[in-house]
Amino acid sequence: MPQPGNESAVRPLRAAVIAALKVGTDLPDTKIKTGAIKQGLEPPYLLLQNYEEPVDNFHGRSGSKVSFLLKGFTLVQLGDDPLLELYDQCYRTLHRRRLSVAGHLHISGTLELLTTFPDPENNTLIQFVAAYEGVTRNT
Amino acid sequence: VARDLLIEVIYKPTLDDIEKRGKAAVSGSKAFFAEKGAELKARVQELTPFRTGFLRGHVRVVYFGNQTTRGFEVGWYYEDFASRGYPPYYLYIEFGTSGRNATPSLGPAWARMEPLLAADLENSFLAYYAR
Repeated sequence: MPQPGNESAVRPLRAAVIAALKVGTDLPDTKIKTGAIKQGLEPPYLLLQNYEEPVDNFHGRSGSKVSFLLKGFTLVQLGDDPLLELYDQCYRTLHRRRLSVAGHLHISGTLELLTTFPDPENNTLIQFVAAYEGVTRNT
Repeated sequence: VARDLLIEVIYKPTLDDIEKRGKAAVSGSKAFFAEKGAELKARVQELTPFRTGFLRGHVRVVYFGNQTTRGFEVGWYYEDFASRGYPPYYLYIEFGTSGRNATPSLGPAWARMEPLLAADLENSFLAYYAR
């Protein structure tokens, strides 16, 4: 059984989301995380947090819900514009787009920007928070 | 970039709805929204992390409306915190930060209410006409 955070057993749906974001944004591959942010990670980067999907999705099940918070981080001194550009890239990648999983399953859902604010625990960062809710469908 | 954090619920019936159901029914929805607003506020407060009580004590519900629109919003207002010299830390609690996991209360409370709200409103109208 795959365990969250075990990169050797990444769930297909989560892997599909990450792969789509890597292609759809101009971030290097190493800047998308699905857990605690590693110290020293340089902005901009994305974080998938509170990721939820049924465990049996590991083998691909149609009609299951997928949800997570997507957070984007940039440097404070760069202001809102790069942060919102990063969100815009994520929006174009995820919003109502069908992401293929294992060749037969698709995720489609909506991405909604919830808020932006300076990170109080790292005064060099500013972050946005967006919520994604999707459903899987068989082709 | 700091902003209020609110769930806003708006009911805006069509003119046909208004004619069919009458102003009395819309007026009757005032009690419905008063109840739902208070319920959502209470649910948020149940889930809000407690340390000093300031966060829980400043969950607010504000009602608005006229003859064609009725609604409420529940959450935290930036001004309530800024006027006390506090940052909008409800954002950090609800969504987490780079060094802290999210411990949301507004989102989960709304998630429990939202799927049933439309049906509850419909039932309130039916109950109104059944009197």
